[in-house]
Amino acid sequence: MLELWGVLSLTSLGVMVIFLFSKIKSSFAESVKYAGYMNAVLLSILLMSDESEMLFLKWEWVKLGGYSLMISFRFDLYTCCFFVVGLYVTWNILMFSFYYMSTDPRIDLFCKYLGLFLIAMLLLVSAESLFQLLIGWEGVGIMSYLLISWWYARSDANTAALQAIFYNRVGDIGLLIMLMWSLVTLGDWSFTGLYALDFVNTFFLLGVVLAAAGKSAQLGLHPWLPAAMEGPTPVSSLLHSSTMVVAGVFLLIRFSPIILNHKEIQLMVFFLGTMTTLFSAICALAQNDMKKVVAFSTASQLGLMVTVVAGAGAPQLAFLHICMHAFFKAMLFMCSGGFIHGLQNEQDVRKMGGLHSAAPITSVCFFIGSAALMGVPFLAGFFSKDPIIEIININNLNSWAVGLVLIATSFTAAYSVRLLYFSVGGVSRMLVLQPMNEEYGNLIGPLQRLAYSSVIAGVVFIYFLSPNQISCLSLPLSLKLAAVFVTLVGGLIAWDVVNLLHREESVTNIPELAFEAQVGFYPLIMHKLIPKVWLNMGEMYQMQVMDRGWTELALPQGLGGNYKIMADNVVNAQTSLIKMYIAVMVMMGGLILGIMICL
Amino acid sequence: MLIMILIFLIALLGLGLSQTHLLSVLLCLEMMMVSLYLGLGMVSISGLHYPLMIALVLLTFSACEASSGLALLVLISRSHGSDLLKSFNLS
Repeated sequence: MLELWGVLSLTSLGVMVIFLFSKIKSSFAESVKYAGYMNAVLLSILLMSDESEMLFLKWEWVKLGGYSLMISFRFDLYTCCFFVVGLYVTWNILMFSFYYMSTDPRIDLFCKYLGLFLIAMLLLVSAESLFQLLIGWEGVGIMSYLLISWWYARSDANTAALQAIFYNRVGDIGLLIMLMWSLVTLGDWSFTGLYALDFVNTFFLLGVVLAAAGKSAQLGLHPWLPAAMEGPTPVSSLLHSSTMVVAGVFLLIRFSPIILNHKEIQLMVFFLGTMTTLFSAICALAQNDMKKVVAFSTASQLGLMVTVVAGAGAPQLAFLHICMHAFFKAMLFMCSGGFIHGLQNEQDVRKMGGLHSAAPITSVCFFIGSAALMGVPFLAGFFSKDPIIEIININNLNSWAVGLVLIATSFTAAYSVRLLYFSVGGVSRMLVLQPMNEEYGNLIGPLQRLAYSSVIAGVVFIYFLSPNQISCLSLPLSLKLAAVFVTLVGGLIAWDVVNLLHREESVTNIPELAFEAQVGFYPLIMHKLIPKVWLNMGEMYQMQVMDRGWTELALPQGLGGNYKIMADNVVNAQTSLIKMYIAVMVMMGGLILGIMICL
Repeated sequence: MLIMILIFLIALLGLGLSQTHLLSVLLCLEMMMVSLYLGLGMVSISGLHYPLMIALVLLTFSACEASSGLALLVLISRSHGSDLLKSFNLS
């Protein structure tokens, strides 16, 4: 039964590939929807079956000497859940993109790109062999590039897409290290082989960490994620919130049994995640672009996922958070898209306001999404975020990380409240005659579906998929309530500060060059200062040493100049005058004759 | 015999180092030929050989050569416009 439905779910993947090429763009969306349903059936069969926990499907692909590459799929709980969530969210985003990109002449190509991205992502999560993972990994990277630079005539979009490619490429080095090491040690690229090893090299795990950091925008490789907001909103909501950026976390989840046996790497991942969470939350407080705030919020939640995978040893909680986060983050992006379209492509929150009366459904969904993000009890985000924070509170690796994560949680509430206040609440600051219209079926339908999911998905997932790794069954009351308390504090303080600003008639007083507003000066240093230093060094080298410098004067001009002078003198003998040639001939002849006579 | 070598060398010098007048080259050429003829003739006077008949052949050939040289003179002075030796160039 399981194998039958496994094959059927793969068939649904194939059907999606076929519908990718059809001229009717809604047929692909329908195929995504039905694939989602079919995979939901597979998931339920997997859950109900007692004896089998996962399903392997293998076909031989290419023979390479003694070894043959296999197309191998692995359907375990993570894969099936992700299939269902990913397909559901993608269906909604496709419907949304029919609304958002309806005036775009290349909308068919857009839906094809989204579909190709989805297929690459599903290949990634169902991969049993690291090589297939690489195929999916590179596929999502390429589609991310193509989609971010969708409006390719805009130089900012091209720069952002190139940035995404560069940072992802740095992460791909990590993935290649993994492939190389496993081929050398194991001769094989399969996960089962890697799990069966009893020793794993630090080198391999460093590769895992690098790959995850590159793809999931951890600190150090993070600037591409806010810059990726240059792409259209459906792209932001599919790639850079729900699906692509969790590929790195997914990789960490897959290798979590190995990482948890290795103390140094576990500590490294823990710190990476914690620093990312806090840093992104700080930067999100100071952004004025609505999509950038949501992007930094995504980065912060990714840091949280990475923290809990390694530090607290609960990969199932991280995966649960991936699923919940997909629902409400995609909805947040879609609400932003609705606002932006209605305000004639105005993205700055300082020019929005009072949208609760102009666009009620969208703003309600925005509120629900923000509440789920903050971890308001019993919405979707609560069921994954609260256990995560509890587990981090009682971890025995580091206690400074506890403080950082709690601060980041309070900042989550703070920037959510700020965003809500500036856009949905308050007084309207937009231009007077705005064609703010939200009565589009393709906008309201996906928003409603995702809103319902954001509310009830938490309960559903916990009921059916309760993680069996929750180890904090007994906590002191203060730690148990720490997350809620910190959220409340952050939200209230933000509410107060924002109200104060509003009353003092300056809408924002964040200086342009502050630490937060400039994303910690990281892009300035990495993208401008360091290349400027290197380029200046190169110019100095060229001007003073090599091409225009003393090396050029010494060797080509100097030695060559000497040869040139000598050659000039020699060339003087080579007149084309006949008289000269005769004279030389005669003189030589006479010389030889004289010598012959004397001897 | 030795003086003929000297005359030959002087004529050779005159041929090689002349600067003007192509005709002077031809005259020096004749002088070289005459010195060779006289040298061939003086070989028999020292009493060791009978007179070499090759001298007559040399004289004949020198006359032909002089006539062809004069034809060349005419052609060159027509094509180059003058007979100044310094101005003859290959290009």
